[in-house]
Amino acid sequence: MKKQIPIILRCSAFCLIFCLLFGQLTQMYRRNDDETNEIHAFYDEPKDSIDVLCIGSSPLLRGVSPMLMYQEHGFTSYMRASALQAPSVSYGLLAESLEYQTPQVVVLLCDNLFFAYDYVEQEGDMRRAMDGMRFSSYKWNIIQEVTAADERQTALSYIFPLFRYHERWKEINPAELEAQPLLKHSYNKGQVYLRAISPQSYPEGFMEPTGEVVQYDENALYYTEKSIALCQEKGIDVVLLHLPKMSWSYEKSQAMQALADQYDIPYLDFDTEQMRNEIGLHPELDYFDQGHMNLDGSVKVSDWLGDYLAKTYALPNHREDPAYAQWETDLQQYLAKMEES
Amino acid sequence: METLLKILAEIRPDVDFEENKELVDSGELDSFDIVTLVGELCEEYDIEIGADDIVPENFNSAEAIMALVTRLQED
Amino acid sequence: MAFTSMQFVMFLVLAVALYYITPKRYRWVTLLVVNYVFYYFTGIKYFIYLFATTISTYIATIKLGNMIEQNKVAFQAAKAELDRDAKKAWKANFTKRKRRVLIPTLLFNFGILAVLKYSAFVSENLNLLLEKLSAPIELPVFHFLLPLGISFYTFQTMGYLIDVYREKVTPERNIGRLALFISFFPTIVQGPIGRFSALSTQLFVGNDFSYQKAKFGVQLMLWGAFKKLVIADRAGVLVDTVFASYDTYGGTYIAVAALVYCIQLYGDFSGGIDIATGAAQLFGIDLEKNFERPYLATSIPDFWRRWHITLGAWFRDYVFYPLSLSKFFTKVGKKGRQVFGNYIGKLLPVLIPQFIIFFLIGIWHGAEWKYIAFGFYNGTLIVLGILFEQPLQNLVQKLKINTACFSWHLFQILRTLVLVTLGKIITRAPSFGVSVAMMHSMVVQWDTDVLFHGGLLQLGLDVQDLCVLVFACLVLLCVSILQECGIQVRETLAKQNLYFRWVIYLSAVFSLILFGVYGLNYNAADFIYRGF
Repeated sequence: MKKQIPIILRCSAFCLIFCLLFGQLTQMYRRNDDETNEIHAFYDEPKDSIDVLCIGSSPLLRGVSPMLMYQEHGFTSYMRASALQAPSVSYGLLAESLEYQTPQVVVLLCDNLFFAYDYVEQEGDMRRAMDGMRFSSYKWNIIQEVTAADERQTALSYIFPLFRYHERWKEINPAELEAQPLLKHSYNKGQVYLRAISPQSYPEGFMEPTGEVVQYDENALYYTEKSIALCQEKGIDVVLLHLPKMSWSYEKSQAMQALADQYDIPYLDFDTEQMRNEIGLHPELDYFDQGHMNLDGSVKVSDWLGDYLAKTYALPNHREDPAYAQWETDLQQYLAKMEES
Repeated sequence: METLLKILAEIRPDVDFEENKELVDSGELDSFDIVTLVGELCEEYDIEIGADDIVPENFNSAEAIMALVTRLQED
Repeated sequence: MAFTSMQFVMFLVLAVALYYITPKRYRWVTLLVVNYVFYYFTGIKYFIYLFATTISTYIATIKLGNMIEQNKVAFQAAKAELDRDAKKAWKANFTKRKRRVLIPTLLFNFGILAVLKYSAFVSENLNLLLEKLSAPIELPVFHFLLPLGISFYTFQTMGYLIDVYREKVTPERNIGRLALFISFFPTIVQGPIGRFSALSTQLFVGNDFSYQKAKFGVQLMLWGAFKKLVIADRAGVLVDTVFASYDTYGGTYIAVAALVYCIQLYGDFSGGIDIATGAAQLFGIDLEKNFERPYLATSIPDFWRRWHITLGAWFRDYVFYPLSLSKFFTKVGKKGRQVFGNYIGKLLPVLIPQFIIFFLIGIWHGAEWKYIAFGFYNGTLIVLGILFEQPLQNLVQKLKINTACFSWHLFQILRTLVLVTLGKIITRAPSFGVSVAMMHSMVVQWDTDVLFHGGLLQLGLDVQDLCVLVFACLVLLCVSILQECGIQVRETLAKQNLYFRWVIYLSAVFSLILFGVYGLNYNAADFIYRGF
């Protein structure tokens, strides 16, 4: 036995060095997108400090500002949003988040309900969301679903992204190679806003009945219902949300309303004429592109949404609470950044 | 032994059969040489060498080959 | 479960752990179970073939073993009264009896292999023939899926059967142990083809864990994975590109691709063997050598002594010797001397079996005409080599060429490499006709200039990949030359400083991770934000 101790020690030391290097290389070769960072920074929020959790695709990412809602009403929120978020990812992120936080309200953006998600085509979007996620049973379940749908992808490459990005040595100039750890703390709280303005105009007959037949994607519906059920089981209020998007239609809106009614939850559709008027949305000024708000648009949306949430759910105001001092610092940083141009 | 060394020298004049004790293991004798050698041995000594006698141990040195021949002659 | 997959690594770790926590006496049982689990991953339906071989061989060898024992006793008793001729007759009679057991078992097992591997080829070609003869019959063509490693385990098992028949080994009376010998998982996929005498004790005795051996095993596996993932799979991209559209690429490209294919094949095959050998070492088992730097061979026979050694040895011991020493070929030799003279007559019993062997090696590679052509190509080269040995030696002497210097050695290596490369074109091209066309274009469309004007970049690999490939090949070449000079790389490395060793190990591991060709291609465009 005595003889073996140095061998075991040596092997362990070797493995340790290997792991350190492996981690370092992962940080060098992984693609760090804003949303990957924001999804990861969620873990830095103190336990049970978030009042509202928002989950969904990129309209949310661009269109809602947790910081502005905090400034106005004092409740805390975080968005775990990513571009073209797969329904399985939305569910996984929600279930995972509920291990860290006990929000009062969960806001689900479910535009993808009518979209047949293609794991082969959307690999980049999958990685964007998953690379920032810690390893957990939730992540494992998503991986299972991806690898079942696309056999070219391996579970291992989702757990250790270096196996996916290893070929990037070709793309990255070695002189510029540096470790980029994922963002630890975010003052954006999950939001990634865009400033550019692209004037839009509503299509003819926008949000008027056309008799279009809309159908839920089965997989998306399955996960959305699972998400709603999970929240209701935990006694968390759910809000279904839709944010402005030029390709939206009256029928889709109705279908969403029907789903909300089925679960007896509110549905907020920012594309209805009434809502557009209420928030004063300007198609020439407030859009980044057809499906996303720009910074100005997001200010208007957040203003209304913050009001609605604060009023409807009697959310606490933490502005004076010393325990939330970090949020004050983050707010100052956020505002300062917003002022820059 | 004399005859054997003569036969061997005819097949592979470049090999020192008196000194080399690893004829097969060192790759000095290849399968062609062995088959040719076996043909000569069978004729010279009126014996039958089968495929199962062809193992490196029987052909690694002139002595080993001689021993094989003697054994087969006695059988 | 590919050798370079993570599943295999995890399977191996688990298997090794299980092996060493089992009490020594039962370690072989664990190994057997592990083998069958490994085999199960390839599909349960293939077990039937494995069992058929195991059981038929078990019955036959036990029967042979009993016969041999009884014969020994009877012969001892009767020996005194027998004269030389009677002894001979006794022996011949006993051999005949043994053959009655041996031959049906051989036929049965090679029959399975033949039916699964060659029946489609044979009936397809017979159909073509029947069509030419306008016969109104059409034979059914069955396409079987080949069970994993059937060629390898059939050869290994039949080798054992013949060894028992030749009384070289005593038959294994425990069917479980025999099953272990037949199914040893590192070797079942692609060899090396093991000998019972060399493997049996190692497999059946519970080996103690040896840190030294395990370390060397892991190192060898890493080296094998390097050859496979960094070299072979990268080279494969270029080879596939050129061979897929051989008619648009000129002769120079084809030559490059053929050479790179040699590298790919060697990297892939010897890399796989290294992984198998390393994996076996983790269980304390040493396998036979299967490659000995084949591309440094100085002649075609030398090449075949260095390439897939265990297969060549199998054919030599179980086909070549029996054939060329058979009564028939002895007679052929005698007749030949009368007809062709002493020199050629003596060679006949060697050359004809040699041709047969290469025909068999050809079809061993696959049931296609091109493999048969490949066999004949090699057979012809060897025969020509023997026939022209004497005249060429005379020529060399007349020209006063110094053959004891490095440049001559290098010339021999390059000459052999060219011949080998041409042979590889035959096996890699989609058909024999195509390979002839490719060789033709190598002669008529030769233009070295294209390579220096960006031509190399049109073969499916970008500059960076080409650089990695060239560098990795240089590493391989250096290691090969060191080994050729008798330096044992792993042993030498073990004597170096810890820091130096770790730097080497870590760079090996990370060059695999970074430069290995595995997983999906990384295409930056797929990852760029495309919006909702």
